[in-house]
Amino acid sequence: MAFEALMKEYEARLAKALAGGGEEKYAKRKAAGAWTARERIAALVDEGTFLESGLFGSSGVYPEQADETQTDGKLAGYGKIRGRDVCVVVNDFTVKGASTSATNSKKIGHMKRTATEKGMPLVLIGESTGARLPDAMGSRGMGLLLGNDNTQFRRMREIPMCAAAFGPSFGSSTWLMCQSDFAVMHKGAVVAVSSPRLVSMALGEKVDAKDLGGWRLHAEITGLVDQVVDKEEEVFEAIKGFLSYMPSHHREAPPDAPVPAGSGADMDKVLGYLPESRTQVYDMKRVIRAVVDKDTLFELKPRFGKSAVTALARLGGKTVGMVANNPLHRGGALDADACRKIVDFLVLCDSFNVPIVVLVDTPGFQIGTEAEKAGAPGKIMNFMNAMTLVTVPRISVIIRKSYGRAYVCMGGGRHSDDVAAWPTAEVSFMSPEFATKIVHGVGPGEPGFEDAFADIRKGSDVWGLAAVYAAQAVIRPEHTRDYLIRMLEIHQLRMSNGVGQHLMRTWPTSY
Amino acid sequence: MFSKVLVANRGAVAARVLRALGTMGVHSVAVYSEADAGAPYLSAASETYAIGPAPARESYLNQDVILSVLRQSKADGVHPGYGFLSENADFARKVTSVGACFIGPSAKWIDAMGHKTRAREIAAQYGMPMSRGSDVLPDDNDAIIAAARAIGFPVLVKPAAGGGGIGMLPAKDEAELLAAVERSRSMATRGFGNAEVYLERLLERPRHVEFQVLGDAHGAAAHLFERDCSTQRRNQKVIEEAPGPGIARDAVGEVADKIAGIMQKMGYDNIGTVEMLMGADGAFNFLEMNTRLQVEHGVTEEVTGVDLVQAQIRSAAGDRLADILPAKIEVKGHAIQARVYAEDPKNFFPSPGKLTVFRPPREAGVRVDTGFAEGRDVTPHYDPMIAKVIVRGETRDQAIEKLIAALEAFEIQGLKNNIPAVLAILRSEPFRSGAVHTGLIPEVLGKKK
Repeated sequence: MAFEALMKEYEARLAKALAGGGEEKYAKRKAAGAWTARERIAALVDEGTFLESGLFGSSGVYPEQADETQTDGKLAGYGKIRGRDVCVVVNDFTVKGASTSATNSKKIGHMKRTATEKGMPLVLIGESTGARLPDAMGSRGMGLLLGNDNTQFRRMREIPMCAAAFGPSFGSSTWLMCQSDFAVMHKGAVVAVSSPRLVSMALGEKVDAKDLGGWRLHAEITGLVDQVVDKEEEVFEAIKGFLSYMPSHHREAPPDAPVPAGSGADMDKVLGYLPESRTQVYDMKRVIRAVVDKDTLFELKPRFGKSAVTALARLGGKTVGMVANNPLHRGGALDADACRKIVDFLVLCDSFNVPIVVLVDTPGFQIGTEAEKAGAPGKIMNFMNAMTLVTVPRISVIIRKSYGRAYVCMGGGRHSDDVAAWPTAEVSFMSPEFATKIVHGVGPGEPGFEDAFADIRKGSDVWGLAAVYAAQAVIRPEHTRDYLIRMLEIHQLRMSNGVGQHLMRTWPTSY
Repeated sequence: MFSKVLVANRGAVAARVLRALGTMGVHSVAVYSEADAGAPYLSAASETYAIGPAPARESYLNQDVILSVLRQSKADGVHPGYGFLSENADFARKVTSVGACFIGPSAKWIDAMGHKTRAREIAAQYGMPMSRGSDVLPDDNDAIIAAARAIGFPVLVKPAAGGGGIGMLPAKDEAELLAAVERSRSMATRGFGNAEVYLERLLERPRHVEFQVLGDAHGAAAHLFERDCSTQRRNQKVIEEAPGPGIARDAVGEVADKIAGIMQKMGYDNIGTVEMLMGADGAFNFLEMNTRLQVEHGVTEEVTGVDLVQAQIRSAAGDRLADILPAKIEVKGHAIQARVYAEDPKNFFPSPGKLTVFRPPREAGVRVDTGFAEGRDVTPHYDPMIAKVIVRGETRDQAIEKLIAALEAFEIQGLKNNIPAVLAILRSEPFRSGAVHTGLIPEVLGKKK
């Protein structure tokens, strides 16, 4: 046969490429309980849909390293997730620690460009040691490997981008986590600019990997990560879950889904979730869960800026972004972290045509020296600015407290398409205890306080807001779900098929 | 009685215990770290042993080294002083297993009282007066809120394994609660390696009143009345006095008798202090129990005439309480102690350095307990307390005047000390009037807590 030798060589090369970093390394991973890159692809995309791109790639800097750089350490290709096309890049740590070099950079670049130009989500599964050495060393290395693609880190939010971190995820894996619309971290992963080893060498300080870039740091302090999960398979479930709410690209509306049976069944209990006293707290997530379609709540950054809740969900089968205060934490007072979290989420929703529902119960922004040190005024103005730039439908419902500047930020006045309030709403410039002191000159415990306080509170009830048409509706709590579904239908963007103007598409991915 | 006692401590308390042992005619063994070599009190010991470098972890907290000194010196008793290993049940057990006697309560009491919520539980079982508090909080927001509602706001979040005020955070309302719990947990994890926290009712302007107790190995226990240690900064005591000013004697007597009864029922078998918070309503609320000699034991000695250190040692040696204590313990006059710290009198930051001049007052009736002498260094390795100045007067006013005179006569140079701050407090109207409470220092000195 004429091409037998060629076909044999093909088979041999194929087997070698598929063997990646070699059996020994795979066995070691398996023993440690970590999946291989190809197992991760199988868990991510629908069965049989993966079409690989660059399988026969290898080191573009040292041809003699071809054998040890099979695929060049990053697997790329196309697949489908729940029937919809995606582009994926999955790092193979067994090949040179999935370090970044010439060929694999071209692979990532091609996937990103293709996804962006053709309108598909991009999924990046990280685990990497950083830049490959000595490839990137010296001026020649730098000139060849870095900075030759100015779209590499350009983020215009044309397509949803998801990133995951496993194990050590230094360098590119960390950069991509920061740039993504959805970043999920496996517990045990380390997301950091550089490895503990390098930090120890450079700074002489002994650091613990957990302190340098562990999940608690990113979930609770930096807020760079949207979700943290325990098991490998949960990483892929999280990504699929996120994408189920998203359009494939920014020029279409998000997909619809059937409304699960039992949705709205708890609405008649919802008023009972509020405590009797205005100084008591409750978990706003219970209210949200009751309002949205059953089991569709997908929370982002749950451990960060906890006085706010940001979550994707569905209402009547349509994707919505829920923004809410959570009185359970700090009484719902918004601190700098909570502001940042909400702004991140507004940017996401506006960029991908996701209508926004705001549920309000906040005594205002956190004040005090701690807040000022955290740059609260700047964060509050970012929030304010973002709220004016939102072009997707947004409806706000005042559940209980809405005070001061936070009233506006949380969609008060013309910062929502429609404002509704529960009869339990109380709205004013500042909390009635302080207002009583300032207006009537009496504080709690002083004679005359009770009367003065009652007077101030009376002026804060919902009817003033309704009288001057600053709230367009006062609704029964149990009607909230039906009201929102109908209101989102009314305010849908008919003239652009549900597509907004994306005025915040270049907003920084973290700041 | 013991033939030889090892004093596993340093500074003022080592000096105090060595003095007691000398009076009792018991041989003594002192230990010292590199930083304490040549310390003045070491000369009072029959034998001395070097136990390693200055950091406490490598010397005074190094159980192996101290146990090897114990074996080598063939001492049959170990006095742990206060601080360091004094409330370490593990150490107490090791001392016992070497065949020596730990001069303190049985290890089980150290264990039981060392964990705050367990101590509360036990105390509650025996009917100790107590404010509302919670169990260790579960990891469930609803349950935490429910616990706080049951107690009523404001509440104080406290680490279960804590001490020294670390990780204690107030929450004045529900809005502050979860953040306070979270912060307290993280401080507790870092400080004590244990994330357990619980809630207590936060008393407004409370007084810290503690009761001195002593038990023996034969099932008897008694009290030596109270001390008021309300004058604190950052939860550290600065001025202590006995009796507590302005508390009705019959009310104190009633609580003290009740506590002694409880100690006897429990079978508590050595020295201890039951700390109480007294609310504005005059009610006493159990705070915690210290299973050791207290820094401020001196004021009780001055008003009762009982040498507490000797009494503690005799009880550990198996003497009966009836033989150790006088038939009727009475409080005579008023005693006050000021703790002199090497610290900045303005911001209370430690200020280590050399005591180029160190001349304690020598007036009659002024007692100074110290481990220092002129020319010695106050190192940053240990607690910055350099002396305790204790006086007794017929009345509280007399005692205050005497203490002021003593502190004015105390000459210290070479480092900053808190005497100016203590004098300002002693001269302040709220202190003079006896209206003490734990927030007094920041109020008087115009500083935040």
